[in-house]
Amino acid sequence: MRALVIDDSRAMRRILCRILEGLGYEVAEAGDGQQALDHLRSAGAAGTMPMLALVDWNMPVMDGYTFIQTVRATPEWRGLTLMMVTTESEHGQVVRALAAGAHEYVIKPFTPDAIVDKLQLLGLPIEAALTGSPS
Amino acid sequence: MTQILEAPTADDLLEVVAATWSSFLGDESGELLRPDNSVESPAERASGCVTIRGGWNGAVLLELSPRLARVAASGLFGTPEDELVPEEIGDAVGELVNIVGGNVKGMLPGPSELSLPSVTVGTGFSVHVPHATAHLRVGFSWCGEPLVVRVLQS
Repeated sequence: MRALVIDDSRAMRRILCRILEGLGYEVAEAGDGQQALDHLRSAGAAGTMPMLALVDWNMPVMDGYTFIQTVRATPEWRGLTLMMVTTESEHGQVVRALAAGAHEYVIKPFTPDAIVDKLQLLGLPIEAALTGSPS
Repeated sequence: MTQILEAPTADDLLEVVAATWSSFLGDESGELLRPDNSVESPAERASGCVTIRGGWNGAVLLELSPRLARVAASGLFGTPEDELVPEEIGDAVGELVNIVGGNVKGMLPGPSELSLPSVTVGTGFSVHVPHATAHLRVGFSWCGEPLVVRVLQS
């Protein structure tokens, strides 16, 4: 099971990686949307596409919203599950992201259980129970 | 549903900061984040700032003592304090102000845009946001160290 964590904060990437690795995922990281697209192209060529991407909204170079739009417009990537993980909490932003193609939405701050709950709602595999705090 | 306010209140900041701390930093030290408006902004500090532009205009600043910044970074990264590099401390402070500022933005008239965070570390500096004046200041102590959150409004 492979996942991609996309956030310009290394601390946040570390937190999300720990959560996903605890659930049995092999996790790659990207610091912005463009790096994430580059990773998807490489992974596609190598046959190691992730099944899940956790996407921050506000990032330099390419933000998460533009990344999601680009993924949704790319036929070979339409199987990728996209979960927005962001501080953008306004209802309008949530609607925008879901309309652009995000499958789920998590608002920071979050608990590990919030991520697990969303993965279960999405029907994604979880190999191990998660206990304790993200740190 | 989030209540839209004209400007954040002290209780709003308490709630946001407490939620952020408990989600990412709460359990390891066993220490609670304690509201304490008697704390002063430390002379030597790490200061994170995000600006909000649009339906509401202003900035949110987070000021931590160097010790508290290290403790917070250690908690976020899961790395012992003595193994942290300066960039990790700056990143941690930046993410914390991003989360607090983003949640403040969510309480305010929109639509607004949140800037990427900036972090300054040092002694004897002050952060000025053009055309913005002090609106709100809330102090906390955690592990005996000061944390000050300030909201500036344009």
